[in-house]
Amino acid sequence: MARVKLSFFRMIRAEWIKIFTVRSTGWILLLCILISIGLSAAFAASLQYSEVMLRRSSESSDLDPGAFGPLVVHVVMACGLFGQLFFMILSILMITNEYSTGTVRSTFTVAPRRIRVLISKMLVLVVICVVTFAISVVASWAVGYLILQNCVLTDLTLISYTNLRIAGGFLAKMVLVSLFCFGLGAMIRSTAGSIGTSVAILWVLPIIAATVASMISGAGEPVGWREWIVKIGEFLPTNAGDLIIQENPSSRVFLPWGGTAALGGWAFGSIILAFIATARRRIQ
Amino acid sequence: MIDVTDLTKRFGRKTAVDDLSFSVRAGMVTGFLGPNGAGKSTTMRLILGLDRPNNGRARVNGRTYKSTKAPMTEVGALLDSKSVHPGRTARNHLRALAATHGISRKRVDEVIEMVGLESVARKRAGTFSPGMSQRLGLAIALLGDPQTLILDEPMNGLDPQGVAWLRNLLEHLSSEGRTVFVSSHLISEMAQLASHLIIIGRGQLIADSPTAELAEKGSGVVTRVRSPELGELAEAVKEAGHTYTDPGDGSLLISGLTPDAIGDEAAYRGWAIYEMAPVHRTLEEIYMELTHSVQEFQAENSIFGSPMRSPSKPPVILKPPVSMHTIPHEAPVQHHRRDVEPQSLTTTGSHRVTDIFRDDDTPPPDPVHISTPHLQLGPVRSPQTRPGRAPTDSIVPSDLGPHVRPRPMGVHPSADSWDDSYDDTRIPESYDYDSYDSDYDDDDDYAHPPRSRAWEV
Repeated sequence: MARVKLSFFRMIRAEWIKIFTVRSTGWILLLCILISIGLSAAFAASLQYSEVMLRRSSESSDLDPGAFGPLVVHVVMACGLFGQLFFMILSILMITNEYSTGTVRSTFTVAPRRIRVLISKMLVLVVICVVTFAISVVASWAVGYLILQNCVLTDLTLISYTNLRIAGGFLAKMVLVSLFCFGLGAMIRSTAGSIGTSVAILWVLPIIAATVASMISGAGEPVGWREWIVKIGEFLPTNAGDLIIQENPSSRVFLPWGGTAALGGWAFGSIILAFIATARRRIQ
Repeated sequence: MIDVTDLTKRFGRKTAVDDLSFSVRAGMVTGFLGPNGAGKSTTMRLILGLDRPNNGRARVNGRTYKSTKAPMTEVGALLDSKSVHPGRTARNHLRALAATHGISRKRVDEVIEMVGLESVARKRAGTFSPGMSQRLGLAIALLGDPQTLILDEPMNGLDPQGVAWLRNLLEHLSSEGRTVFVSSHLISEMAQLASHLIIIGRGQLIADSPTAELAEKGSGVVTRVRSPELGELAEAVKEAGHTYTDPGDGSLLISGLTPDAIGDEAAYRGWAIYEMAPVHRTLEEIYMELTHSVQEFQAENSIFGSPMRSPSKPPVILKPPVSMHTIPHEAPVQHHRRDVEPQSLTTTGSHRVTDIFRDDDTPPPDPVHISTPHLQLGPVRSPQTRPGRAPTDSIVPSDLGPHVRPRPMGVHPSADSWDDSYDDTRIPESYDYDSYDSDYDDDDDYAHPPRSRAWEV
């Protein structure tokens, strides 16, 4: 470390400084955690209400514990709802802000090996993502636990295979979605364009697939071209990734970790394309 | 040391950098001049690896920029001072860049102090004035204490103290043995600061020579004389075979004779001399001539006339040489640009000045025949003689260049106070007005100034 030299570890440190010396980062992370906790509290409260209602309307012996499913699922849903949005924005901004302010010129002048710059950005992004979502999941679960202390119908445990799978899978899903958006941002370079494209791929396409799935003429499975669209819809990043966070995932194509692998494929593809584009590109 | 060899970059059909080759040496400041759109920024980006050339290569200290182990210590670059994140403070910006190389925080503070940003270092860069942004850009370039500095218009936005400070800094750095490569549009600054100049136009090299050589080649000997006996002086000069021009302010610009020779003759003949001084062409004028034909963007038909020529200035005939030092191959003639013929910038033929003014009574020798007879002109010609020429153009020996102003339009020579005896009978009957040189004809670009000036209608 003594000699002044460009090194990969130093590049990571530089990216760390870059991302934390901008005010928007702090706000995004703070809001992500707070909203997760808030939503999770809301979900927990609604679960409690449902349980109370159910208890009033039927007898206690009819209800088996854990009927509402694990708390972790609700927590993860709460964190993921807005967290995904925040981290999509953060990961896109990490790279497109450089292009829009022109800082990319000094970045690539000071560190001419562009792919290493992108990799160091991605590593910083992954670390921030994991830490933030870990904090928000644990904090949200704690809040939910406190609210649902006396409730039986929700499985309150955190440490169990299923629940850890769900929580860990959620972290993996968030990381992969962030990396996918980062790759998109590096390719498209414009903030608005990247955000629009990633919103379209992550949320609009699944809606189309779901709409087609619901266009069932008669009861039963969709047939013909609709079936194909629904099958392809399974491969979309959000749908594939969602499998991991479902307790009993039902999918026509995938096993739970397979869904994460499909999502990983999306992220990998986007990143490879971003590498190729950045390495060959002219920096204006 | 920067070596650029056969560098070519095309954007679609447009060639931004065309077969450019030059060397930037260490230990001096090299100026990089050229009109807008000539390809200066593109060349610098190609050197820094921000863009890939179609052909040729650019090496810094013998290696590609990408392969250097510590780029910030090899090359410090300032390309665009506005490329900072507006939400980040200046200090954090420098810290982030310094962290890539492991440069200490102490050095960051040192550089901030060097450029004079201590008071605003912890303010967000978006609040900076252009001068402060420029200083921040310089700080970034100097952060690694680089061996080579590549600066694209570093004096943009700096106040005069800042410009002077930067000039001193660059001189100091170059005296330490570093390579300083500066592109600028402030020609007067470059004349002072740069010891070597590289001028490009439309992507091609126009000149690559030491500043002194360029200035000298462009000048020739021109003397400005003010005297009560200007008429006789003019006569004598004409008889001696030299040329003069009357800029209309009571002086004469005599080319080919040093002040010494004129002074001697004046003393001999008893003329009073009120003012006599050699006239040097400024680098700006030489640069304008060299790059006139390769201007990319030129305002046309404005009411002030073309920026290169005001109504009373003659069109510039001088064509720029392709390179002012010998290059191994002939400059290629491109089909898309006008032919550029190498032409010497020296003025009229050389005469030993002592030959002309003698202190005995022998008549002066016949005027030495100069190969370009059209330069041997005396008074301003009547403007109506040549159809198609705007009345404001007057004929002036081209070697004196645009700084020489002929008499303004509409003023008859005899209106000058110092010479009431001027009359047209001085012009010999046999003088053929229409034998004027076809140089003006061939160059449609130069010969016809814009006609839409209001007073010409």
